[in-house]
Amino acid sequence: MSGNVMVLAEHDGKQISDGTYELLGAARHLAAVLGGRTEVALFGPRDLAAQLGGAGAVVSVDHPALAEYLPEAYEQALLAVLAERSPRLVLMSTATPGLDLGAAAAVHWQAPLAAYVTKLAATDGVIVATAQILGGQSRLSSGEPSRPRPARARVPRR
Amino acid sequence: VPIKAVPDLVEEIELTSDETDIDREFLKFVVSEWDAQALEEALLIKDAAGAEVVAVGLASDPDIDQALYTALAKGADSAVKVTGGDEQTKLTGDRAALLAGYLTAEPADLVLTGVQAADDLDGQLPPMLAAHLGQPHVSVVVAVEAADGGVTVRQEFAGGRVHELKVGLPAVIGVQAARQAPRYAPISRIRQAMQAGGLREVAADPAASAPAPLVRRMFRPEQTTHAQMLTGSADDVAGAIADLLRDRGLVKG
Repeated sequence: MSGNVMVLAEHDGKQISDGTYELLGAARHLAAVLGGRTEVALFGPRDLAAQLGGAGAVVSVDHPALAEYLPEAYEQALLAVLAERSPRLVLMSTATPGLDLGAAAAVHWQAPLAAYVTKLAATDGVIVATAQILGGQSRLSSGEPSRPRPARARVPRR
Repeated sequence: VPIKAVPDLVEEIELTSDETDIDREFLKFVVSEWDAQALEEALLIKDAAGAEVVAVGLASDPDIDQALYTALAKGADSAVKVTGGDEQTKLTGDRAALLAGYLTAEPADLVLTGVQAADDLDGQLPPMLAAHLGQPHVSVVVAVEAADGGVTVRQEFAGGRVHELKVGLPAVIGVQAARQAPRYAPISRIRQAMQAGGLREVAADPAASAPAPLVRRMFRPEQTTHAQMLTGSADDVAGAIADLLRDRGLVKG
């Protein structure tokens, strides 16, 4: 498995969302620690890749069904990209696409998922996510067990 | 309509001594608010187009009987308590696997459930359930209406943008909000439902669940900052706020 960290790009067809850049920042930091690079999965108009200069690579899937966000089409594209690129970690925001795709991908791709993540770190090859749950009454740190499995996390969009 | 009992967040929540979970012993549990929205949306579909609404809870959830009787009092046609999970099936991944086992044995045309719950640290139920069942799913939905053998759903995005989608059945929908506020069930009706009984227990075989994250530590949010009271005239306070915003780079100039 690679040490690559993948970010799912969110956009409105014209503009990459601010949340995507926030995830990309977190991904660059983690990829450096894990000895991999950042990849952005971009579904829909491929010319948006021009706005993703901060990524190590952009994996673009362009198809008429992906022009607008459609849960089923995006899920198919995401699963295909995950199978081909095998990133160590996938980041998506806790906005609507992340809420649609994260938990489904965890089952299909057989990877643990941490939701409502506010902080991410990698220590000794283990990814540790800190998440806020129970309406802010508790936080928890969940570490990916030290087995060769990709973990994923979602970082909220502020 | 799968419903989940979650800790009542109005109460102070204590952690277990090993700090990997919350102490459930003395907690009050209530129906997850998003699940209450999902039940309302299901009852609205039933009112408009006719449907049989089945409220489904996990037998391992605390106080689930009360929640299911309340669903019956509101208008659900039947209520099922699913057994077969661990003593307490807490992780969403395990809940999804068990509910998938139940729905494989007793399929539904449409599953409506809350888009999230306050304690689902390992992800949200609707997409996981749909992935196990191999069905389409849509989350953050604010309206579901029957249309041409399927349903039309309104999916909400950041900034108030809404997509209207047609979804074929069977499908799983994660409900953010119903079209109207959840209806009220008078205590007398809930009592009546309790006296009539009628919760059906169904043993289910859980599907193989996805790997779970390992909880290392659970802790209260650290207090990182304290409130700073600004005093003085309106001009002084306005100036102090402007300085603060400039210091933090939130405004230019």
